[in-house]
Amino acid sequence: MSDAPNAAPGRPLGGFGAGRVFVGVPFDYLVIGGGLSLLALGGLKLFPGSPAWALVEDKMWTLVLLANSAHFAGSTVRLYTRRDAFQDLPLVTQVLPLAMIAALGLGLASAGAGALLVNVYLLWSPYHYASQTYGLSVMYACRSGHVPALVERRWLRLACLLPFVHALLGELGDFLLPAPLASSLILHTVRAQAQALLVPVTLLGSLAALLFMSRREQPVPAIVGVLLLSNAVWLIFAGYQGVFAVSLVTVFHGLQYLAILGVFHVRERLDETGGAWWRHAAAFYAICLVLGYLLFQVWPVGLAFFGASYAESAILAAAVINIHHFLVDGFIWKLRNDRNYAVVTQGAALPA
Amino acid sequence: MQGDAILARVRATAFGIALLLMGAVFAAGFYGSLQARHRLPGLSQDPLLEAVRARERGDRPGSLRENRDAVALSASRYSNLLDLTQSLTMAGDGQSADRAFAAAQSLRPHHTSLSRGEGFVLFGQGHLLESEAAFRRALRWESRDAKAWVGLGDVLLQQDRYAEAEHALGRALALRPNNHGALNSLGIVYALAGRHDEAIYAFETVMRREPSPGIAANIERARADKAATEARR
Repeated sequence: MSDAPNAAPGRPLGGFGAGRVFVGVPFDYLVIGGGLSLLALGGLKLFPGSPAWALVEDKMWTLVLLANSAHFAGSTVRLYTRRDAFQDLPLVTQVLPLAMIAALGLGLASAGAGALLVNVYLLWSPYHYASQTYGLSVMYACRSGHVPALVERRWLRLACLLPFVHALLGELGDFLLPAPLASSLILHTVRAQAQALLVPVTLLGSLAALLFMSRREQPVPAIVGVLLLSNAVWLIFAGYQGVFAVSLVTVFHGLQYLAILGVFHVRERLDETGGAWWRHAAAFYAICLVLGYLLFQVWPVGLAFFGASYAESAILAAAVINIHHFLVDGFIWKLRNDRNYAVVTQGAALPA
Repeated sequence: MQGDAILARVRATAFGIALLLMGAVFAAGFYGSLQARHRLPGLSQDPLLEAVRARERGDRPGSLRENRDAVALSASRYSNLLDLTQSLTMAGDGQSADRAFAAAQSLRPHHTSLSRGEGFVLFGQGHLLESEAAFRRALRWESRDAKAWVGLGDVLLQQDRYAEAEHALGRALALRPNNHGALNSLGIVYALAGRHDEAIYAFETVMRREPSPGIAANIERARADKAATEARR
């Protein structure tokens, strides 16, 4: 039995609406929803030879710093700028950094451990993307007065995780298989067929989740559809467009994360201290940017200074920063009994 | 209660040690970069950045170490190993290139893109005709493989087949306009074909995007060749 209350007989179904956004419809849909990435990746697919792409590719490391590196730093900045963070999350704030440094040391000492660390972060990454999509979808639905019932949340989670399963069946999942199986032609064929099957299944699953949610009286915010589509395009289709498209995806994911993190940070600061919103936003972003530069640009050079090769320093530093980000992310977005929840529901229409 | 206090102290100590270690590595990063390059660390996050730099300055052991460490951390990642085959060949480390190719082959023995890696390994070993055949095989499977076009261009250049090399490198650049290796090779094709202005333009473009002593030397050589040609007239 479904626990999602359908619209009462005779009353219209909610269908879809713009929903209640955080900043404004264009910003939320394009940046947080990932709409901008869909336009960019569509443009790349339709006009691959455009000189604009050469310019973007030429400046890719700058874009990576501005969006992606800053977003990794963002979770750390958010963690340590939360009121009572040291008291509420003593292990994450105080012990995790040393544990991650120890993991880095282990990776530098043993190539096997290092390779495992890298493989774990690479596989965790698409799961993190999928989880972020799920979290944002629920957040927007709640904010729009459509608090998803358990069965709706399950549908949503499934729709978000299918693209991750597609990634798991590909090269990223190779390290989970014992050597003879990893190179088995039969298994490769089965995995490739399953991946091909997952493309329509993901699209149909997303559509089913949206239609299932739309049976209620409260309209489903259409940004949920944009989020699901972005997630599918990022984790499935971008891979078929090559390394450049994948790099673009990391930039858009970082942008999405920074935007929503910035919204929460600014609203909290405004509640606590008042002042101009842009000052809080600029200060937050500046700290993220500086920390991102320190972590991704300076840290590997520093490790190399102490005797490691730059290649292993850069690869392992990226692995450790990613894993730290994934772990911290699991704590800073817990909504219940948290001031994050107030930001989500602030001004939201109450569920009927 | 006392246990809690001890735990709190342990946590605080762990945090302090982490901060100290991070601070020391950051300081070393700034110092190391300023000492070696007289500038702050750049924006590139390419793990093979130093491998390329070492190759450019003629530090073969340094380049080999960087490449080999990257291979060691790429175990069980087919695409990375295949890409490293190219990088190692370019670094002149045929043995490691062969090892990376074998590792990639063990993971995906039936994958069509393996021919590209094979092409680079054979190129590194000096088997130019076999290498050309491997690149052409890779391109039959995937005509949009820019790296295979670069490999084919380079192997044709080695055989002094300039018109064909120009075509292959042109195809690579159409797919990946920022492929500096392809543009540099195209510059060499132009220079060897006596098209000095085009060669200088190609090298200068690479130099603007990714300055290196090797490219600077190519520009100098192309300018000298142009001057010599004009003097002969």
